[in-house]
Amino acid sequence: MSIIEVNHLKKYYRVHKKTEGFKGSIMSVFNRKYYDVKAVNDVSFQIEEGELVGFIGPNGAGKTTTLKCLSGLLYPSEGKVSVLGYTPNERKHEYLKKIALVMGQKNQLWWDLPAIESFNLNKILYEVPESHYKKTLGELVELLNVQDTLNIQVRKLSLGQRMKCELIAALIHSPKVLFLDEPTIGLDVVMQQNLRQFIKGYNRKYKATIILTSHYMQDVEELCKRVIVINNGLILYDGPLEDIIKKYATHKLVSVIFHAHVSKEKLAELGEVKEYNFPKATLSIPLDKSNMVAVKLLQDFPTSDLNIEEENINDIIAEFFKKS
Amino acid sequence: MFSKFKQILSLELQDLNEYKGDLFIYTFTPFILTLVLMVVWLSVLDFSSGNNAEKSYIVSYFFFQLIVARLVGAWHAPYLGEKIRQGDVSKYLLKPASFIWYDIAENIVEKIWKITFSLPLYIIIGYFLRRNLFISWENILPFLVSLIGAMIIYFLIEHLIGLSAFWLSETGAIDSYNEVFFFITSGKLFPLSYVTKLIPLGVINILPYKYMLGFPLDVLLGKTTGQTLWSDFGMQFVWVVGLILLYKVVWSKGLQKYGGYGG
Repeated sequence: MSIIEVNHLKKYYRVHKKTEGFKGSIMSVFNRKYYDVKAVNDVSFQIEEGELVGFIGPNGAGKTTTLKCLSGLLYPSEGKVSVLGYTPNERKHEYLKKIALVMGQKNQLWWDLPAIESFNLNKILYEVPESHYKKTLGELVELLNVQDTLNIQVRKLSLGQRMKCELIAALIHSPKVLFLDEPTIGLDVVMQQNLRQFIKGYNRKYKATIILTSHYMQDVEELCKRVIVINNGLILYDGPLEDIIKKYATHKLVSVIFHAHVSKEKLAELGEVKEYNFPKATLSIPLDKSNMVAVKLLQDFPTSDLNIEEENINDIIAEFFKKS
Repeated sequence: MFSKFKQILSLELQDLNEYKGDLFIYTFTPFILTLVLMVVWLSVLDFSSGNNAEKSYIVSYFFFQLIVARLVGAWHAPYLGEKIRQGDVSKYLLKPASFIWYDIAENIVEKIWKITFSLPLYIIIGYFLRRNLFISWENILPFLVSLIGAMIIYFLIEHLIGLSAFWLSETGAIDSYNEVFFFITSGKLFPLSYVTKLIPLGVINILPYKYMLGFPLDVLLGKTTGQTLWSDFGMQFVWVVGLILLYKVVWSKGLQKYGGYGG
């Protein structure tokens, strides 16, 4: 049996439609019009124990709403959701002790108190044994390098520092299922990398099932073998990330370093010039022509170094959305 | 369960300490209104040649109202409404502890804080009024029971108003109606035995507000005894049970409406 089972999940919000301006405001008093926003519209998927799945889609696609339904914050309008055999919206304490939801854009720590107080509260609420708490906290604090911030009021922390503390608070009880909504938001590149390593390690060590949403495609690329692509509340794709890359990567990036000046116009004859700042240039070349262009650059241009790379994952996903 | 609640209490107390400046100011504002009311009613008694026993009753009524109102009070409806509107309830819903315990803990620590810091003022005012102060010692136990009932009713009404934010975008209107009814029918502005000509006693007896303030005060001062004491206790109990049931229904229905906005 799958750890997470979602069958025909729908979540609609009833929204008041107001016409613009003062007149619209008066009219809405007498003739109030409503319509349904289909945040999630007939979504089904299964996730097995220990899977690390990327949930991707543009803003307003329905990613966060789905995670909120899975964590029990929202009642589904229709459909069935089961996580670890529980119905999330029943919010049984036994269920809540086995999951965690981290929302990058929503604070879950006590705003006016140091983060350590929230950790201590979670220890008691989740009934974490003292020795396990100390060990887990020690590991997390060291890994995320927050030794100096534990005793500072949360409201005085930077976004990055706060995110690290949010993550610690969510992991104190070692949840079996982890919902991560934009966990790397606001973090610097080094810390993003650390956090990815940590998530990967956590997934392996605890055989934890993780669903991750992120706007940084690098997060998804590095962590998730499987992705679920969602837009307008509908699943567009569910499968290996590399299949999307194979199918939708239409170009390769050719990076060149010249030892003599070359005009941009001449380069443009070979393909789209993504960047040119002598002596470096980056060209986007259609897949079938990339080898030929590379040979041409080496033979006919003053090239001292050349490198062929895969297309940026963001561009591939953008292409996917365009074609879907 | 108790260790969880104890930890929540400790956290709420620390949180409250961050706002001690505001709290300190709020602590003393109720003294002004209540003492003014005491003076007004004493003047009315002078004008109508009221006897000394009646004057002592007025003095004792408003003096003990200062303490009882503080013990039974709750004021979290607007904050709770805002938490629901902004989706800030989510962080509590994700934790294995009932949401209401956070508000109960906050209410308790705020009362302890305010009572503690008001203590010198209670002693000073009490010292000046000592000749007119009395309580009914044999009613102490019924008073304590009525006080607990009053606390529960007050808290639940305030909580239910806050929970109305699941359906309404602004809870202020309901809150202000609640406040008006409370002022008129709870015994806040005048002892309830004085107003039966203005408002029929039947109406006062059936509404919950009397059981939130006037009833425990009159029990403490020995004004409510015998058959009336038991029937008032009965009515207070009905309100406690009714409000607990209503809270359970509203909370469960409200969660189904919850949008969890933000984030």
